[in-house]
Amino acid sequence: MISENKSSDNVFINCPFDDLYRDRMFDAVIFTIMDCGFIPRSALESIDSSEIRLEKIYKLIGDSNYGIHDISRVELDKENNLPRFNMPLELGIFLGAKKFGFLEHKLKKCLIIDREKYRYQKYLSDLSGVDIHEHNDDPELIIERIRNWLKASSGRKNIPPTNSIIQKYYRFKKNLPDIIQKLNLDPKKIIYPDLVSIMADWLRESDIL
Amino acid sequence: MGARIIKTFKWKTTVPKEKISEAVLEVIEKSHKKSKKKQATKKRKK
Repeated sequence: MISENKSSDNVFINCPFDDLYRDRMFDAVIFTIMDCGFIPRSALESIDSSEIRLEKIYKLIGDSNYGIHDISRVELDKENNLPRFNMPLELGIFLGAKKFGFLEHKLKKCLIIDREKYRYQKYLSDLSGVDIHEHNDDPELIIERIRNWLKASSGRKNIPPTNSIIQKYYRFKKNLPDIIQKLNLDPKKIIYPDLVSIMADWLRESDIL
Repeated sequence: MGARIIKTFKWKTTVPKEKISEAVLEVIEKSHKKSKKKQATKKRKK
């Protein structure tokens, strides 16, 4: 067992949590991180209401050597006609920790992704010059981006090839509804710790069988 | 092949972890059997 507190394995996930993203991209992000041998860390992992959210974010960023920041959700909210600023804020905290933190934080590495490659220049122009990748709302592309980034930034040699992760991911997605049904869970309301535990078990068992 | 760490997470799940393991194993085994059957049928057809 590897401790979830070992920061060299932790990948902080800063991404939208809306249904659209969750249906199409979120599972692919988590799956890729785990199949590459890392631990996905998200504000969703704890359901303790007494914990202040920003403190939780600080702790997760402090505990993570890696960060994936998907800043693609810039649309206005349908209900209040305002954009969501949480993702750029969390990216700023991560970059601040890297810039001003002690040695271990200076080693932090991050992947910044948007739907289109140069779109961020229109709404987050201070990031100009930073290498930002696009995912086109395509789960296969986000798998490839994350896998390649983890391989390059960690230097680990045992990271599976992209095609292998994609194939396994589709097999997992095919099995997931049956697993959820067996556990009497609501597929639309499945919480993060349940999803991660299912994925971890699936990866372990599919490896053995 | 690959890194495939699989660890025990401390996060609280809504279902006991043993039940999750059982459900996952059952579904994987069932789908393996199905795909083996399919492969056997394909071979026979050839």
